[in-house]
Amino acid sequence: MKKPSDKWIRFRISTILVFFCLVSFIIAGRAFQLQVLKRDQLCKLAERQYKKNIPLVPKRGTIYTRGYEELAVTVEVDSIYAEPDSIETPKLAAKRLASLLPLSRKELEDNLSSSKSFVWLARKVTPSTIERVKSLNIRGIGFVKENRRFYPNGELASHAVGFSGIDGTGLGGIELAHDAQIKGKTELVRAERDAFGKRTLPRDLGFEDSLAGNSVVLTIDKTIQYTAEKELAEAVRKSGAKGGTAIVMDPKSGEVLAMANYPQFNPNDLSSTYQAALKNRAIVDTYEPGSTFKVFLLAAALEEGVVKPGDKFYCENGSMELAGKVIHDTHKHGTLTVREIMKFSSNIGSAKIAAKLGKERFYDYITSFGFGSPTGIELKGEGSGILRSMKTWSKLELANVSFGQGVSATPLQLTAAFSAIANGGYLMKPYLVKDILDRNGKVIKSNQPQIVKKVVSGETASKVTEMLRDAVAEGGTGSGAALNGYDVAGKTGTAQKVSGGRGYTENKHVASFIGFVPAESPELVVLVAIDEPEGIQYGGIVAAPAFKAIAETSLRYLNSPKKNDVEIPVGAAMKVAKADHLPQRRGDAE
Amino acid sequence: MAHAASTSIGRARASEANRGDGLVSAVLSVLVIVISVLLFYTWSRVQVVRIGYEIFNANSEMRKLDQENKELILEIATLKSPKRIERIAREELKLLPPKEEQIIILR
Repeated sequence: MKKPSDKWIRFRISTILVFFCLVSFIIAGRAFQLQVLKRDQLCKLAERQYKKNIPLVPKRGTIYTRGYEELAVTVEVDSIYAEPDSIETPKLAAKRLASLLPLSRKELEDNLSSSKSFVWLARKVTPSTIERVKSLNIRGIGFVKENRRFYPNGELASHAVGFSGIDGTGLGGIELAHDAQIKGKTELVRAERDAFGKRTLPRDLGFEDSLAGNSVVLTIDKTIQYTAEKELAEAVRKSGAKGGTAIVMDPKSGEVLAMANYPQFNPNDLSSTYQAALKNRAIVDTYEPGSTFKVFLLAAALEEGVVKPGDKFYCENGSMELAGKVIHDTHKHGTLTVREIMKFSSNIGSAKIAAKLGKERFYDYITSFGFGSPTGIELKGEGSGILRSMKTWSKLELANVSFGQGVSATPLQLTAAFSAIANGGYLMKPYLVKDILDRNGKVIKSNQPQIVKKVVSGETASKVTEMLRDAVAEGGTGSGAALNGYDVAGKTGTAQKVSGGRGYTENKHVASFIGFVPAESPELVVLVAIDEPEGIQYGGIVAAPAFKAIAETSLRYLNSPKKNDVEIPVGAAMKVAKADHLPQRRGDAE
Repeated sequence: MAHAASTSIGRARASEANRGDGLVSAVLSVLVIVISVLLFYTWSRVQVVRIGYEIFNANSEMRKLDQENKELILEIATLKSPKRIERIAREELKLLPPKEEQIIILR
């Protein structure tokens, strides 16, 4: 066999080499053309195919009580959508889906035959519905995760917490007031899709949680809030009233520990809630405070040195004519000291003190206690009450204002003003948000107590406190609020409601009680206001028992010692407890 | 003389052949290197895609666990609702708030 010559071999090798070089050159040239010359154009084309803009709706932050118990939590749930273009037989699909979704067959058919490329069928539905719809395996029906807000405690603190809409926007309470903080940032992210349409991790984003909203820690105490709501509801039911409000505040800081309203609403089920129940009466409703307002008259008169606690005033045996009108007291009184005027809540005595103080000075003190302007609490829609300019006050109007008529205030304004008496004369700004936390739980903002103004001296506050103790003592109008083991300083109020802006109604009243406990070192200021009670309408009868129940339970919960508490060492206590109350453990008997 | 001439031609041819072999080797080496680089690049891209899927799956798993955790937190919060606890205490366990004399303050 003839061997191929070297020349032929070289020729073949050279030919192959040239061929490979040529091919390599062509490949390199094409690569250069694609990667360098047409890069931008091709990148755009490719991105359109495998990248998709996905709106990333962040999770709303959690709302906590002061003890870090969850009041509002966001959890992902599934929603069902349709791509009508992909649905082959809308009529059949509608028939199969009708029994599972909250839409009629006709509505479903209309949706599935729509000319739109995307329609929602049901949003935020239960996992069992999702499973059943998935099992139908209908082409063109898709599922997507969405965030849903849950309120695990239902009605608890619902007016303070508020609620959010289906699109995750706050619509009431702190949910609305701090929406920007809680909501987080909504952003469009570019997710990549592979040849099978499967989404892969966006390169420019770590985790979607990075956009989550901040959490809010409220000043609300879960136990005190629950107690306030329960006792308020009981008082409203017992008296057949239209509604009511209860507020519990820490007088030293202005922290709102409880803000209860009746009727309540469940933010998890807004569809069955009537509009009036959504109103936060504690900050929106303004009513004439009635006799509770005498406290501020007294504080002003004592501070100005116009009266002393022992000064006497003739109370006209329960009826006094002034500027053609007659002012009445509930009971007939002759001469009363200033202390007794407060104890028996004499309107005539108050009118005489106000006349002695003068309208200018009285007005200054009223505004200093915060009446006539909103307190500035974080919630939206706060009322400022009605306080007409004192320039227009007649003698009769001055007398009226002295016992809380012709002036109106929100329950929160009254509570804040009363706190100023409890804490030695400082008007504190009430607040509901204690801390704001970032998504990692780190405190990024912490609210501190704010003094608005020093209204009266500590000495005046002490004198007023002493008189308010008398009002709750036996024989006083507020004796129904007296607690066993704690001294209470408080005042009743029974105010007629204004009728359509002119005059007063005969039978419609707001019965209230406001006070602080323990009187010697106040920990809590509690206000209870009952709107339009039926039958007996006095604050001392309708509202004072609710005050008593809220204050007693809350003080026990806060471990505030009673005056008559017997403290015994732990060891001895355990012996007593074992012997008298606790069941014996098996090991103890051996 | 003739022998010397033929030897010289032979050397020249051998040298030319060696040069040709060297060129071939060089070109082949370059090709091998280029192909190796391309293969490595392809492998690394495959790895990037594979790791991308792994990260995506791990992220999905993390989200799932996070979601499960949130659902459990929600369930705990619901179970701790004071209204529910009071109902169980009163109706099922027949408990009542302690009376005055049953409360002992520990020092």
